[in-house]
Amino acid sequence: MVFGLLVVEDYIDGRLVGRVVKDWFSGGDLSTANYVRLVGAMFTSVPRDGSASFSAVDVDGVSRTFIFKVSAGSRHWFWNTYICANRVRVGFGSSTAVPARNNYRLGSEFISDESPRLIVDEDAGVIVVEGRFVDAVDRTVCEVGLFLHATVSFEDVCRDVLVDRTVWSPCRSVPAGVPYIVRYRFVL
Amino acid sequence: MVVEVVRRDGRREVVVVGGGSEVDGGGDLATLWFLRILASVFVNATAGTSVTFTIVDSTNTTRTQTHVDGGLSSVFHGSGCGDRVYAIGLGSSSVPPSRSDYKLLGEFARLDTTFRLDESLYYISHSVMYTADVDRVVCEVGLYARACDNGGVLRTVLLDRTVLSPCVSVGAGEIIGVAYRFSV
Repeated sequence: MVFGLLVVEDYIDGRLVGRVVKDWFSGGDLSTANYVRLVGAMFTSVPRDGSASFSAVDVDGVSRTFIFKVSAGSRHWFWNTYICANRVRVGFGSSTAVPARNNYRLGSEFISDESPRLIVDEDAGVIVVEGRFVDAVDRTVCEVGLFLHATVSFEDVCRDVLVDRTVWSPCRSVPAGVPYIVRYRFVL
Repeated sequence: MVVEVVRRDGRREVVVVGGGSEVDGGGDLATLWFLRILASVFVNATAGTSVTFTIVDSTNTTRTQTHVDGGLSSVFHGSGCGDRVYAIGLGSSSVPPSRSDYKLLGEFARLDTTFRLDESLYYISHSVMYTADVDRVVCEVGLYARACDNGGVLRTVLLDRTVLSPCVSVGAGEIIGVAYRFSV
């Protein structure tokens, strides 16, 4: 089936603290597997000059390879890795301000996971982007953000683009040394 | 997904399949950028055309980006190999979706879609309107992507097959509309 549930959930020391459901649906057939691979490629982090591809079975019943990210094309092509890495980042912050039309970054980011874990589950039709941190001091997490880092302009500038900002209510108190995890779970 | 039938007497019947939006629905800038990036995956682009969007990056600078590159012919986001246009199929099979379905099982029509990006309501959609040539029973609908593979050949891939229960009967001359709507 097709899009889409986005679940944002967080964990302190492995224990589920909260969950925000942003839509819903589910699947398990070949078309869903094709779609899951496509969206999985979208969230695959690749370094500069790297590439990301996905395979899908076309209407002739043949598996084909589709290149999603690669070092090619025009300099201002978003998926180009010629100058920039094309990757995912998860940020953590302390602002409680509700998401707004002028949020181009977190309100008060204090740490981020530059290499979040990506899980592509074709059978369940689920994609998970999992960001985490362990800090040496107590932290209060009130906001989390999902960023795509990419080529963002003709000038070959590499920047982050915030594609989700979620505010927890109440904020999460994370003791020093305790792992904090946030999962973006896309159910397709 | 929404299936709508227009009967010969003008009556409209709407069959909603699957999940409606329950929560959220955007309102913030981040959701808008996600919508535009998602739109770049789903946008229709005829051969050789490029698609650009603007976003505000994390330094509060507005950037113009190419998302579909008309000069590329061997990448998913290129339109150099042909018309990168999505399609919706209609068929008569009521066999449940499975891991072996790479096309509709009883397809009798496949139409290029009309793509829409609605930034006020935070959704993108592909839709078609099909006028039945003869009496039809629509039991399955499917969403097809068309994109360049790594060899520079335009390929068609089924991204969704949905079986309607019950099937929808459409008389000759009646119109059935199918819309896939992706909300963020």
